[in-house]
Amino acid sequence: MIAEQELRDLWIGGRALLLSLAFSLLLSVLAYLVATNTALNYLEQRESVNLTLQVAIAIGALLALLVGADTISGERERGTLETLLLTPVPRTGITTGKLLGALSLWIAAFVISIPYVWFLGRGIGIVGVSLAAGLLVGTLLAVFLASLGVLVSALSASNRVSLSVSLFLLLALYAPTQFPTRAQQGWAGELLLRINPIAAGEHYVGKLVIDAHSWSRDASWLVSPIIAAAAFAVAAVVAARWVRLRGAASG
Amino acid sequence: MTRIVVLCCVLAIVACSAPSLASAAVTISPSRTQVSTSIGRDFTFSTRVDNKASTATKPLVAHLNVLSLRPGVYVDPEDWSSRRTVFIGSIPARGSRLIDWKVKAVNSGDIGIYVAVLPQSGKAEPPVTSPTIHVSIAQRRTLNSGGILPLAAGIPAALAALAVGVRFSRKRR
Repeated sequence: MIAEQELRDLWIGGRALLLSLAFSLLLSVLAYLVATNTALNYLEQRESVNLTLQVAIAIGALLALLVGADTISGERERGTLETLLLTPVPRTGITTGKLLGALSLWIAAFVISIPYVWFLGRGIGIVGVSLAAGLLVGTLLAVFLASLGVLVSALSASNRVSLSVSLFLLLALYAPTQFPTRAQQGWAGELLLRINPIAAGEHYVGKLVIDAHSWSRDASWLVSPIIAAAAFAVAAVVAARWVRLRGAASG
Repeated sequence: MTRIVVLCCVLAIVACSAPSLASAAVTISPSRTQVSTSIGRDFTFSTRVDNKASTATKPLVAHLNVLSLRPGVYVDPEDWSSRRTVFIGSIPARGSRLIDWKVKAVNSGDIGIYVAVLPQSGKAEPPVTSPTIHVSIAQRRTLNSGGILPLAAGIPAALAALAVGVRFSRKRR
């Protein structure tokens, strides 16, 4: 029931459609540049697909995080949390429904990215693998980030705090992917990449799409995304117990 | 005093008799001297470093270099290969070392590649270089960019239309 209400609010309310429109504009600009810009055009076709897929995963997961971070604290600020808490639904059902609503953004982002990946990857037989890898890794990261958002939202006193903390954590998680190549080498660099679910997931996608590795060869890179998705999803559902009408800091 | 002078002379003779790279007859032979590829592609080749002398060489270092054979093309060798320096150590008398190189064609045009071998000690003597490997790199349009515009414009337009439609239907209710 909560999930249905959440999906209706997001999609009929128009917020999710606007976010999806912004996402598609971003992918359109990226795909156009990759296909036509002479500086980017030297990228191999596999690299072009990988770049587009990585951006789709990153932004799709970011959308799930943003919606997740707005769930409980947003209801509290809009004055609708009391009504929500009074509905005859278990607390865990509330956060589960909110989580499913946030994940719908990722599903939409993935569906939108399909034509772009198809266009960039057609002719070299990597469309299927790319889409499957994107769906697998993107879903794991979206579950992780949406759950993180719901968890932070449940514990935050205000929506501003929730969004700020969530975005800060996201930036901290993305930072290792921007390290220079030399910093990512050696056991310490690899360990840092492996324990970071975002860096590990994107590394795995790159190995499948660019290097055409088999699914099992680099499967160990999926350990941290799987653990993060499972642990944070459980934490987000359990966090329903800590939801208070006035928020953690003020109440 | 005489002993010291003799010792110095002996040492000087020994130092002079240590073969330089050229006198040690070190040669470098690439596996290919012509490569045709297209921009963005990887290609590989190997170089064999031979020591034709009857004595072992000193420890050596091999270095790959990349340059444009036409003016006006900027080439940054670091973009072309992430492993351009190989420490090959000492090569025994009449022995050889095989080195594999992996290069990415970053620019189109006529590119020259060569491998230089020099002593690891840093001794001031000219390095030995391989014959030039001439790489002809064709401009490649990796994608059919002609079809991207309808897709890039169509999907956001469809989503915008959907958003407007949902908004209107919501207002009508």
